[in-house]
Amino acid sequence: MTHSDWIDRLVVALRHRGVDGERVGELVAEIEAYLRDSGSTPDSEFGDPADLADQLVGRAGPEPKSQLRLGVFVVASSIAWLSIFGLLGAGEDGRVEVTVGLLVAVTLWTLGMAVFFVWIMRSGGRVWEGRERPRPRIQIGVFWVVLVASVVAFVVLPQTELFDLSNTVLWALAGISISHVIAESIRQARQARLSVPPAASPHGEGLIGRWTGIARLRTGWRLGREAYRDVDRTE
Amino acid sequence: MIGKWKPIESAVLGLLAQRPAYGYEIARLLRAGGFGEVTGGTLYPLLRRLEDASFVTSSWRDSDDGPPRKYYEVTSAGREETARRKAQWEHIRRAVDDVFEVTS
Repeated sequence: MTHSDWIDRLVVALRHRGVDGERVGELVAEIEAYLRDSGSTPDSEFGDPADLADQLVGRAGPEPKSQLRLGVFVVASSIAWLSIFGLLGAGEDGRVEVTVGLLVAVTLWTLGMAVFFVWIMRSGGRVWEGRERPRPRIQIGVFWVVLVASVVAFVVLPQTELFDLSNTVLWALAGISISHVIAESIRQARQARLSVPPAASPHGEGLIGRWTGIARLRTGWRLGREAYRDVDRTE
Repeated sequence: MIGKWKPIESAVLGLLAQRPAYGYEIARLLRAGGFGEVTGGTLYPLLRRLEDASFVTSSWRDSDDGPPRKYYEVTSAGREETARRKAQWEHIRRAVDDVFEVTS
């Protein structure tokens, strides 16, 4: 593993554990300073980047708070889409009839997707770090199970009307959920941006502006593709 | 009591109680003090734990020989902890000496 590949893996491992960009930048700058002083390689001095991330953060796996945030984000996104569809499909009186089937289907879909994405995020981190075998077929299967279960619930359950949702309520739901999605996206993008304390800048020169949120996705994509390619070879 | 004794962690606290030092300098001092090869992978998680426990603080400083480095120094809570560990070590050493004297 090259020096920069090792640093890339450490950055991704720390971000998977919910460490913000500012902290990651400082840790990397400190490690770079140590390596410059010792003249040794990151592998020999610090070992596996994922193990080091576990020890530095004090736990393995993503931060519980970041999993909860992702779950809420997915629920908010689903509510945003459903409200928009509701507004588009509202009757002439501007109201949407909520039946037992629709309510159960929507609840199944939003909660199912929230759990599904948290699971994908957790296992994705472990796959990138080579700690778990990728299981794309199982993941696609689970997605279809949630989708089919929601559709079946909508079709099979009684179409008894429970309550009406007015245009105003739908607009309010759409407004609140879309605001949350935008605010959370901005927060995530800011948090993912790596920064190095000015005093440490000689050790983090290459970091500044290099590993922003997009670059993190690029690194994650590359590492993930390598992991999946290995599975294709072994199967 | 002996089970909780952490030799490298206590040595780092003891070194930092004497003067602030940066990561590689701490590793070098430990090696010179007879603690063997202490790698960055051992040292940094340990420093993180001491920092989380508020026993040490860190800051980036200009260095006399080269680029800036992150220096660690003990806090007042760290000094108290160092004194506590020193007393603990004295107790352990006396206990081990007594055992060896009986068996010799």
